[in-house]
Formats: sequence, structure tokens, C-alpha cells
Amino acid sequence: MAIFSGTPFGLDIFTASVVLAIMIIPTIASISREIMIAVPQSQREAAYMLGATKWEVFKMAVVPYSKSGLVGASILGLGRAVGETMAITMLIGNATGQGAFPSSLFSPGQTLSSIIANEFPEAASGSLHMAALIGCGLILFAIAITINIVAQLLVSRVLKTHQGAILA
Amino acid sequence: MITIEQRAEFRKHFRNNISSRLVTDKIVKGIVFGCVLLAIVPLGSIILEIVRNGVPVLSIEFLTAPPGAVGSADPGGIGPAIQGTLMLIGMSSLIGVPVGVLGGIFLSEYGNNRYGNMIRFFNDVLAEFPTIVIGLFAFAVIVLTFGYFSIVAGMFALSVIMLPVITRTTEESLKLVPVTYREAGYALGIKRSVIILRILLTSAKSGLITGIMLSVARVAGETAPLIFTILGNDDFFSGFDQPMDALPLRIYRLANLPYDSATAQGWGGALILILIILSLNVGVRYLFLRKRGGGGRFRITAGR
Repeated sequence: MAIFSGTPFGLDIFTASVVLAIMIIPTIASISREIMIAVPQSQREAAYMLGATKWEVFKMAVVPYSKSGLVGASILGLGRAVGETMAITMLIGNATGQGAFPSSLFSPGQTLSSIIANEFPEAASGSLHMAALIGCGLILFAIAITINIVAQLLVSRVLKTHQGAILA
Repeated sequence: MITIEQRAEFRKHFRNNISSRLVTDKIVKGIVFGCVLLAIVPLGSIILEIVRNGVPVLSIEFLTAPPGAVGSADPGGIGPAIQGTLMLIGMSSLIGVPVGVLGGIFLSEYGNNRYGNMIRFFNDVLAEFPTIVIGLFAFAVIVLTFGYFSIVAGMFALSVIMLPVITRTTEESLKLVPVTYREAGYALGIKRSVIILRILLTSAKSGLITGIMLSVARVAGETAPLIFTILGNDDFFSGFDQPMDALPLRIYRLANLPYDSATAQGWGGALILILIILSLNVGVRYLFLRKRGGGGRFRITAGR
């Protein structure tokens, strides 16, 4: 299979992905926690009263109430991952040219932010190179603001209906 | 008394018998616990690795000397980087803390309307924004305008990163102060501004300081925006119009050098960075919160 072809060297998309995954755990965990705390206690109590186990309470009372918020928290984590620069620059291998299109999970690649961080010191002020790098920044900006706005809308919708009805 | 509808509802949710439901519960509990372990292991392992690799290079020279020539026998130290990081933290706090705290006061006390909601929303968006974009912004606004890389540009970028964190935590800790405190102030005929400054801020002190320290910890470890603003330098501070060094930047450079001594120094730098943040945290807490049994009564947890 093409995804796993090639010899793992260490500086590749796979390593970078694992590290990114670790880095976004705290973001997702803390926002999810905040959202689940916002689920009214009465919802949980109602489920407990029916004789539900802990897992069933989570499934019946917590998840339906906070579904969109949990999705939002994950997207916020994604937003973190999109903009993360230094760890990725050090790990992704910084392929250039045609080789930058990754052929497998274990081939080096590049990200928008790693290009900027890597090539910025070499770009002369006012040159086309510099303009291109700032252009990369613009694309990154567009991606990040879209992700963040969508995620914040989802999260704040749950947190705002603190005492309100379920938005299933 | 259980009605027929209730029984039907019950059957809908709990189809299996109780013992298999309890087994499912146990299995899920195990999975969740395993995920927690999986999330904590990297943290422990990071700290362990940094201490193990960082301690051997520590020395007075390492802490005070400027870096030596790349690849030479004398690797020098990270003195300028430590100085730069401390200056950056101080200078960006000068802008970030007052503006952030005032913004938080606005959102909490005057922000219960459409404008407040809008500001809150975009503040949250900014808080999660890629810092490299903020770095480019500071580059375009400060560096290109003045024509040189400087610590001022770094300060600008870092205070922009600080701001949303402080605003948010300030608002949250002010919201935790019971409304009766405000009412007591009004009943005594105190002006609103005085209530906010004297009653609310002192009551929420602990939360405020937690927020400020969170944001300091965040900017102290920021690398990406510094590439575009302070650029990096081998010398100590020599003026507000000169490039400057900072610990995260130095660590990044050292880690990328193909010499073992440089990599070892990178580990040492990482250890120092963690120690600086830790001691700042402990120091500030001790200074501001030692009176009256821990200062403000309404704490917030680290949160987002």
C-alpha cells in the first residue's frame, strides 16, 4: 500500500502527526471538560434515576446535550494544529520542490507554517520571495480564521444555553 | 408508580440485562482511564528527558556567556537568550496586562450586550489563532515600518498573543465574584468605578494572577513570532533598534545544528526556560497572594 511505502527516517509526516496529536490533547480536553460541566446536573440526575450506569448517563444525557460543543472543541484542536509552527518545522522533514508532495505517510513534507519559518531568514525584504511567504501567511490566516470561527460558534452555542433547553 | 410510557422509555434505553450493562460500563471506564494515561505519559516523559539531558550542561558560564562560534570547541552559553526572554516577558506584560485586564473588566461589567458578545467572540478566536500569523503581522506593522528587527517588534507580537488570554481569564474571574459584593458596594453608595477597582479586582485577584501567569507561560515559549520580529542575535541587549535573542529561538537554532554540543545546549536551554517560567509563577504568587490566606477568594482553574 502506498500510504505505508518507503523507509521511515524519523523526520516525516507520521512523526509530525503524532507530536501534533499530543500537542492538541490539552486544548481539546480542557474545552470538552468545560462543555461537559455546562450540561445541567438535572440532566444527569434524570438518567441516574432511570437506573443508568455512568457510561449510559454519558451517552443519554451528556452527549446529546453537548454534541456540537464537543465537535467544536475538536475543531479548535484542529485550529491549533493548523497553525503550529516550530515543532512541525523541526519534525516534518521540510521537503522542497516536487518531493514536497508526500508519497506516503513516511515521506517528508512541508506545511504552510514550516515554509514560512524555514525560508523567512533567506528572503530579502521587499523581494518576490518575501511577498510569497507573506502570501502563505494569508492562506494560513484564511484557513485558521474559518476553522476558529466555526469552532467558536459551535462551542459558544453550547456554553450559552447553560440553563436553557437542549439544542439537539 | 411507573407508567407504561416510562417503561417503554426505559426499555428503549436499556435493552440489555443489567450484568452486561455493568460490564460495558467497566470496559468504557478502562478505555477512558487508558486515554488519560496516554495523555499524561508524554508530559512526564518530556520533563524527564529535559531534566536528564539538560542538567549536565548547566554551569555558570552556560548561564551568563554569549554563544561561541558555531562548531568551535568553546560552545559558550545562552546568556543573551535568557536576558532577551526576561526582557520580552517584562515588556510584553507592560502592554498586555493593563490592556487585557481592562478589556476583561469591560466584558464582565459593561459587556452584556451585542458589542460585548461580539468582542468576546473575536477575543476567543484570537486566543486560538496561529501565532506565526501574528508574527507576520508584527513584521509587517513594526519591522517593515521602522526598517529594522527589534525587541520592540517582539514585544508587540507577544503582547498581541497575551491579550486574549488575559482578557478571557479576567472576565471569568470577575464573573465568579458574587453579585452580592457589587450590591453591597452600591448599597454603601460607592461609585461603580470604585467598586470595580477596589472590591471586584481585589476579590478576583487570585484569578487575575492565574490568568496573567498563564499568558506569560504561553508567550515565554513562543518561537514562531520571534523569528519575524527579534530575529536572533549572539550579543547582549544593545538598544531598542537592534535584533535580540530569546530562549525559544536559541533552543530552535541549537537543536538544528549538527553538533552534539549544540544539541546538549539546546536541552539545557529548554530546562532553563521551564525553570524561568516555574520560578516566575511561584515568585509572583508568593509576592501577591501571601497575605490573607492566599489572597482573593474566588479562584478560577486554568481553563482554556
